[in-house]
Amino acid sequence: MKIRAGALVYAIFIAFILFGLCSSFILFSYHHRKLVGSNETQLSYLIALNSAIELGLSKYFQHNDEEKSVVQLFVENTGFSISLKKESWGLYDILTAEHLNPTIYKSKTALIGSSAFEHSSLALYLTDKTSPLSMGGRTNLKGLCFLPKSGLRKAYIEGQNFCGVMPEPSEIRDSQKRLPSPNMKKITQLQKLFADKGLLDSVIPFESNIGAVVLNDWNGKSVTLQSSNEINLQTMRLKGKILVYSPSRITIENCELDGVIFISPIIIVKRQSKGNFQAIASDSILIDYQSRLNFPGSLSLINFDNSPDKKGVVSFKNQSYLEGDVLIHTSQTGHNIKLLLEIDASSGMSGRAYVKGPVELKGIIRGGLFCEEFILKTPSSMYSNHLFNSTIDRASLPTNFIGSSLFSTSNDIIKWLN
Amino acid sequence: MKAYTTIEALVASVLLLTVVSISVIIILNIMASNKSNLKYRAEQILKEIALNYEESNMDDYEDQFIRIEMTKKLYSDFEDVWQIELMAYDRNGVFISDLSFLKKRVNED
Repeated sequence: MKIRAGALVYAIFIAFILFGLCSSFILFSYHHRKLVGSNETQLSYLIALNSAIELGLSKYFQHNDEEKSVVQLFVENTGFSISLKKESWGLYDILTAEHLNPTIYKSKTALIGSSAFEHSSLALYLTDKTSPLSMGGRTNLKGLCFLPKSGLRKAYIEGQNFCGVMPEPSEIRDSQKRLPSPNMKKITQLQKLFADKGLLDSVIPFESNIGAVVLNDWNGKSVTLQSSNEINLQTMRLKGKILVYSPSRITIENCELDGVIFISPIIIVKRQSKGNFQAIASDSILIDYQSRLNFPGSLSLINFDNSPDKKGVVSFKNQSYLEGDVLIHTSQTGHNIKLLLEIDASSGMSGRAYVKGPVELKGIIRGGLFCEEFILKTPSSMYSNHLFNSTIDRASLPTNFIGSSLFSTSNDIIKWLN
Repeated sequence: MKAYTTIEALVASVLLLTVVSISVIIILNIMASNKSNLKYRAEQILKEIALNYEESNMDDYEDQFIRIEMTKKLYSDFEDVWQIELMAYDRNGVFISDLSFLKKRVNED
């Protein structure tokens, strides 16, 4: 049989098609392997970053304040170089781990706090100012209580006998004349933040046209929205590493907030504002009109200027609620200083409150409270160290609740920020 | 015996070469993927355990080909951090892969 010479053209054509098929097969296989390899590398980086964060949570890890610390993980194997940075963010801290490989930028950031009071089941620490704690009406006190040596008694208030729940005798211990000291480093950090007017990094005048939405990444530098006058935030959305500072007053109405810190002498939250944020004030904080601060929120009222006759209040009114921490602190002592926590009958909080002063509690605290005294105002009278129709219940707070690191050196992750 | 022309021989050679090359590529690929599949799978399992350590149960990840061992020791001088090392072996006890990661030590550990 004879084949025409033109058959060579067909043969070459078929060979080219087969070559193309082979090439695409090889290329597909190559890219698939590359993609799988890349995913594997990403997972390895992620595991290394998680490990670095776990190391950063250790109480033995020496953080350089606000500076990066370089750690070498598993030197004998792969030798991941990762930088760790812990910086203060209000009552909490931000822990960031970043790979030092210049070709790949990968990082993880977490908001961290502490999981425990000194006594994890503590419901109440009331300083020993000689008078006993009197409970009237439907008052419930559940959990470990440190009370004045004069103890606990039932009281007849406003025509009502006591019909609530008292702590078990085994849950009652004697308190001291002073509250246990909180972590002063944290208070110094808040003081510095207040004195610096929140000026950590970039500053944007609030009067400039910032728009209704301000977002800032957690990995980068913080942004401070600042004004020399009062600030009224209405129907705005703020999210990320943002500080808002006013030297006189900040009013927040119907805003959506996530992670923001407000710094001002007076801070007012009203009209169903929602979200999680922190407020740092020197005079007063008012949470009003069904406002809800979600976890992890915090309210700090501090006598920053050490005034000997400081008056101030953190007040929850009209079905307002906080999930997080309350800190009311003064380094000065004296009868002229009165920093008060006030929770009305329709309001409450879940978390932990440290009040270096009196508390007027008519609502509910699901968690723990440190305070110097209770005051109770009724239409007919005013009582000292009396609780009436109110609740402090430690058991309602999850045992693994993580709040600020005011009372413990342990570090735990509150939430991942990226 | 029939004599082939040069053209016929060329056509046959090109086709034969192409078929042989494709076969070799496919065989090599299959051999390579078979060999790396076990290692890849083991690495995947180790990473999955590391990323979901709290919820992980070793027995759920072991199968007829892979056996996993875990060792735990304190990381360097940190008394509250575990260094956890996972090692994967095949059923003949031949080492396949390993992975180290850190976990903060909790009270019940």
